[in-house]
Amino acid sequence: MNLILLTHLGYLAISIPLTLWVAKTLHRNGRVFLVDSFGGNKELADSVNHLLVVGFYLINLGFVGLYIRNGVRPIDAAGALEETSVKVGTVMLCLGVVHLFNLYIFNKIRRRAMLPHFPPPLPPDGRITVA
Amino acid sequence: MKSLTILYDDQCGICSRLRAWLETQATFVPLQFMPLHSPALPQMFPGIRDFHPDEKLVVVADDGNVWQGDSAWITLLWSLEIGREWSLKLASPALRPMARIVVAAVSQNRLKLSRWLRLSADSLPAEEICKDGSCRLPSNKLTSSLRSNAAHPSAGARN
Repeated sequence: MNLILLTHLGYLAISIPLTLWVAKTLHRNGRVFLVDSFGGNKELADSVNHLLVVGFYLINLGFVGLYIRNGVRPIDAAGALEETSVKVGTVMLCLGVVHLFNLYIFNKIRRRAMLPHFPPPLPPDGRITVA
Repeated sequence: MKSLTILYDDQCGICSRLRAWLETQATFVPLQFMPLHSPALPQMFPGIRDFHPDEKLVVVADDGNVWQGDSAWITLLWSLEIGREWSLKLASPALRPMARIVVAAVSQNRLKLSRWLRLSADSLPAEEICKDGSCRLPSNKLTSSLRSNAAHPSAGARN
């Protein structure tokens, strides 16, 4: 087994479980958010949650797959480690951005669901007796 | 809050057009409209003249709370489904001064703007109706009134 193959295998061995773990975390903890956003409708919340996680998998695993060919070919063990580290670091940053974007969407959905319950944003300027 | 009454200037074209548009909008709070020149206004809302509804927009909630000027516009926006998100943004300290300037400029120039845009008002000022010496209804109201009288002569007689 040559060094390049080892680098690729190391990269995949870290990136894929990492993607799965982030997706699972998002799926587990996002559910509470979504159930609240959809007024307790658990079926709809589960459906949206599942669809979001599928999108998350596609984007991240797609990126992991595409990125495997990128970078320099290592000639020694230190180079292989550096190359794996750079690639895994980039994948982690990408996961972080997509994860934050997902949180932003969750928050947006939740905020929209709460809009009907917001009180007037400004206090009244006065009061009269309505006939 | 169960409803919000908008005191709008029925002699201003832009205000009348806005009222017609608002009536078509989905709202979180039911909206009611009260013409500023309605004789029933002082009885329905005693003390409302203190809020200068002839100078700026005034909205009154069913519980008696009153908003005027830019806060009335923001509260009106808050009542609309498409406007609630924006009302929260405009009420923030960063955007409120800008909202205040725009609202004041539009309110002060509403009649001029209506003339430029050739928007007809729900009612005309008395001096406009009678300026040629004969007092009559505005032509569009006259036509609709004649049409309804022709369709329901008995209803016309009652009027």
